[in-house]
Amino acid sequence: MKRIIVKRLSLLVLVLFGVTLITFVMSHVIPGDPARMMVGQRASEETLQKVREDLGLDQPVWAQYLLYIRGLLSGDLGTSIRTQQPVISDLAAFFPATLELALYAFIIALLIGIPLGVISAVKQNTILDHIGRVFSIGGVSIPVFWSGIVAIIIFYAQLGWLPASGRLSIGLEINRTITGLYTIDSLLTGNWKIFKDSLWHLILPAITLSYVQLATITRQVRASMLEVLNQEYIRTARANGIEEWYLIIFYGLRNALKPTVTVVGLSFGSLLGGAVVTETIFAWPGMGKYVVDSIAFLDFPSIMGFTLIIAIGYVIINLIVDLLYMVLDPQVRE
Amino acid sequence: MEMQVEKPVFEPVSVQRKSLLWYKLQKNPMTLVGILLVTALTVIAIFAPCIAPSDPVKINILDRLEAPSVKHPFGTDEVGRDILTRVIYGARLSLGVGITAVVIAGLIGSSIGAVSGYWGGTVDQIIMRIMDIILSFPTLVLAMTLAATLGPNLINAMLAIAVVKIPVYVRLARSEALSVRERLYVKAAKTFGLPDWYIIIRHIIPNTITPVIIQTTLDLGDVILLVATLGFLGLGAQPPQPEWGTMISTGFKHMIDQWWYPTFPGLAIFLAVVGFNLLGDGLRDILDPKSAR
Amino acid sequence: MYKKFIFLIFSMFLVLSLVACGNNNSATEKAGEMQLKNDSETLIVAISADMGTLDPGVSMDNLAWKITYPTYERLVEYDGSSTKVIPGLAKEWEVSEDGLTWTFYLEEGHKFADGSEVNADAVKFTFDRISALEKGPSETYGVIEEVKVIDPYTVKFTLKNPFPPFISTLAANYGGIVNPKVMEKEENGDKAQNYLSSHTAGSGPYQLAEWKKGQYIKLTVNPHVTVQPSFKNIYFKLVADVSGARLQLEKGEIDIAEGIPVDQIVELKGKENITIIQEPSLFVDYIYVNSTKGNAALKNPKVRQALSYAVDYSAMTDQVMQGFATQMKGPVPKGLWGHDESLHQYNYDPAKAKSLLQEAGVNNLELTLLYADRFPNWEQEAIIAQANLAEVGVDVKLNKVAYATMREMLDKGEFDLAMGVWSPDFGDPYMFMNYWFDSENHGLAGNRAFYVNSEVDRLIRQAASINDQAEREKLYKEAQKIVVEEAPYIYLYQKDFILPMSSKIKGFVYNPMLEGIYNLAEMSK
Repeated sequence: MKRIIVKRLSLLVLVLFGVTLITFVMSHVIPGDPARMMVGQRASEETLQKVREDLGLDQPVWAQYLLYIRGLLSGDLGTSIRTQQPVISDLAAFFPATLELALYAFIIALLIGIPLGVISAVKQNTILDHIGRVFSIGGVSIPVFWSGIVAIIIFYAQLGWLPASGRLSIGLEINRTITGLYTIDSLLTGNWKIFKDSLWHLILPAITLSYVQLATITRQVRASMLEVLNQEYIRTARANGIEEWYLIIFYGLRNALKPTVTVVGLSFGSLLGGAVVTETIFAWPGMGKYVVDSIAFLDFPSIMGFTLIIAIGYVIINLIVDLLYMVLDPQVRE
Repeated sequence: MEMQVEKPVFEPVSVQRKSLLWYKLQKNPMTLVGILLVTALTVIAIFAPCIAPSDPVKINILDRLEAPSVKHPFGTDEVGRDILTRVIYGARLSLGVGITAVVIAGLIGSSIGAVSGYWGGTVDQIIMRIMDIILSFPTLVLAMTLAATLGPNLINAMLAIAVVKIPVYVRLARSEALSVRERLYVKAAKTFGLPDWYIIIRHIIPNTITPVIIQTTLDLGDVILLVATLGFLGLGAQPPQPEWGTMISTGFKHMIDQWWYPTFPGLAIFLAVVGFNLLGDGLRDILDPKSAR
Repeated sequence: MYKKFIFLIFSMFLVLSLVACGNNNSATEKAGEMQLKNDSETLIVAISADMGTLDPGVSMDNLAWKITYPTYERLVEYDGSSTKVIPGLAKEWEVSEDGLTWTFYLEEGHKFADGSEVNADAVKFTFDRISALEKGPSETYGVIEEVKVIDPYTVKFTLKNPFPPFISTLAANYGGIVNPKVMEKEENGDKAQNYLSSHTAGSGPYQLAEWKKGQYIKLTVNPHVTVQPSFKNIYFKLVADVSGARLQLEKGEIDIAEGIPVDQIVELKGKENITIIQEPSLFVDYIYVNSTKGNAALKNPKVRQALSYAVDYSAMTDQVMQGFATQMKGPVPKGLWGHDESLHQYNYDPAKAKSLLQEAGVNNLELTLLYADRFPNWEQEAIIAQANLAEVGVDVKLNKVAYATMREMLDKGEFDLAMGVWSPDFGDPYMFMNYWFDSENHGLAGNRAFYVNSEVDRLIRQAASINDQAEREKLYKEAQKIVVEEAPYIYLYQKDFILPMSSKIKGFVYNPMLEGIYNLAEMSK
């Protein structure tokens, strides 16, 4: 247990180093002068030079990198070129929205994906299986940017059932921020109106985002269920007259979940990244939207900040997956 | 004469093989659908100039944003180009870029993986840590950043995607290499003093081919989607190239009033990706008996 | 383990039922809420991108000016929809004979949002701060030698050299007078830049109340304002997807939708609850023809003229812009003094273009056309220009790059042709003539065609140094004749300002100098 945590954490350091180095090198290869973007187009050479000095851009690349790392160690991610605000405060403002969206999408994907995978496996090669597989293949095949806008047109423009953008209706304000997740904060403060409103705003983007992960989960559950259901002990149990549904859930699914955990964990990581497109379409005020704008602006301090957060998240999720795996399978424990 | 004697011996085997394949396909009609879609896509891509009703880059500003009609079955875009024609030519781009990116990733990735797995030790450790770093970037963000850095065009998008996909193949080939390395015949080859490169090419690489091919097919769908997403975010094809994602990116703004503009390229992406996914799943069923499906 | 699963299934149901419950109630409640919130005292504007710093001494981004302009006051203001300036904080002013000394007499009684009075010290503080910060705005005010407080309500500016547009620059956003008390928020000698980047400290009718990053910016009324505005709460709501903004406008959820493309404006025109504001603007769209650093053939004015004749202007104005644009006649747009209606206007004439190319002895010309996806029209126009030029035998390669990269390439002159837009910061032909053609402004600064003509340099420099407007106009018109003839730019069109808003909104006045800025205090519904 300890060994795995130590291993993962040392990997984290390595990953952070690699991620910053790669992004940093990239930021210095491209043409595009951050100072220029800051002062506006009609500035003179002296003004530019002054801003370059302020940003440390007049120093050699390695010195800039050291400077960045030094800042990083003290929790300073630099200043965004686009918003001209500290990257850390920008990310702090946007991260909870992304996390909330990803969490709900993840929950939806699990709630639908697991049963779907089980049904597909149990009813292998029947029409039910085919429908299930087509449904889940659709998830990995429909471009999110396309299904998102279709969803908006149907559920917002035509039917008027669901809101199409933002986290809350305008005029509603969340007065206390505890976790930054609106649904949780509103529950904690007992504000039902905000809870409902934020849940309401979550539905379309969360479902759209979940569809991709749902497919991955369904596939994995189906595959491992098939493997498990063909095992000796299942047949023995069946011969012993154990009821089929009980058999499927407590004998089959329980064992099929082990390999699924890995896939699911990784898919949560890609969910955080995949939120980029979803957020753009649903005007979701998360990091994804922020990074898309930053990339268009070649705002590397923000891009680096974003990638760092995602990389850290990825390593942490891997750690959780490892630990969960040990819980599910005592054999791996030592 | 000899041939005639041997014939009866061989015939049943090949028939058996054929019927086994056929049986597997019949049991899994989805694979057939996949094969059909991919074949259709390939034919359309290759014969695009013969099939397409007009020129994909010919503008006709007076006919802009026309609804589907007999003349333009999929309507026209914002500078009056025929959308059907552009969707057909788009198949060339998507397929071409997709296959190239996956092949590059597959070749580089599996060679690195095979060498890394066979040699093991420090080299292996370093390579795998580098792969870990690449893997901890969100795929899309890394591809976006790379594409933005290199300059937004199709070639760079392709390279970016290839880089993003490499670690998958490294891991795949490496795990295969690790198990093959312990096989008796490889150990025997080693004791005979055969050089490493020979063993890698003769024994390790051939063993990694099947899983790599399956992965390639599965990845193709993913890569086509990734190309389109980069195009959608303005980091893909350079206009006036008829790339599907780029078309949707522009057409997106016309969704409410000119539904046909983003719809048809969207459909094309969907069908192409579904095709490769179904084919990939099917190939795995047929070629890789280990993964019971 | 069993327990865990039962718990899992139970929680599934719980969540599902919650979602289902939400379904029933919210639909009805939603409608009620909307009417309550978007009432006659509230204005909701959909904007398409979030903004950077709100510091008037730093910001060069006119997205932020939407917020800063109504939250600060300036010495002088633009008069309604015209480019003329009228008294603002200053009730009157005088200029010395030599144009070097400007004295302003402040009106008493203007108060910052914290209740302190706007006086000569605040004016001096503002301009001293700008010059100390050395950010974008310091460029415009670089001409100021000294700001002197004569008495609490009199302030004197001494200029380094005569600069006639000076009075116009004071009405621009960066002329907003800042409350000197912000220095209490100074951190590490930043002159309160950090604080002002997300707060306002002005005497305008509104103040910033809340900024939810990526969601909305809320303005409320300055408690010390003398005339109460009709709107008490103003929300600038971020809706990145313009189709989404349009749908919300149609449903009456928002009052104004920015950034709606012209193709959708056409569809909105018939809607009963929506008014389309359409006014001529000074926003122009043109193509830079790199006259010295690009393809060598472009050094020949004949070749440049050929390009100007090869472009189908009506395709751009009537099709791309759907008629919401007028072809330019010379560099100074209509509506700004100095515009010359008698100038030569290039028309779409491929035959003439071909013969000009022949005269110049240029065959198989290959050019690059640089653009970015910053403005949605660029791509359509680039594609059209490419097709147009192909007709006269010029092969154009489109080069689409990130906007930051494009600017770098523009600055270094690494292009043959490039798409461009320009809008003036203050109402003076100086903004066009001196920026676009002065050979000292090569690159991003303004002369993006890298055009060199000593006669033009002489004319425009002289025009910028004298105060007599009639004389200046004459000089500018003379210079325009040359630069139209020599065609360092392909003058495409000047855009109309188009803004769809709810029919309920009254009192909006568009000023071409204040593109995207609202006269919030005079608006109502």
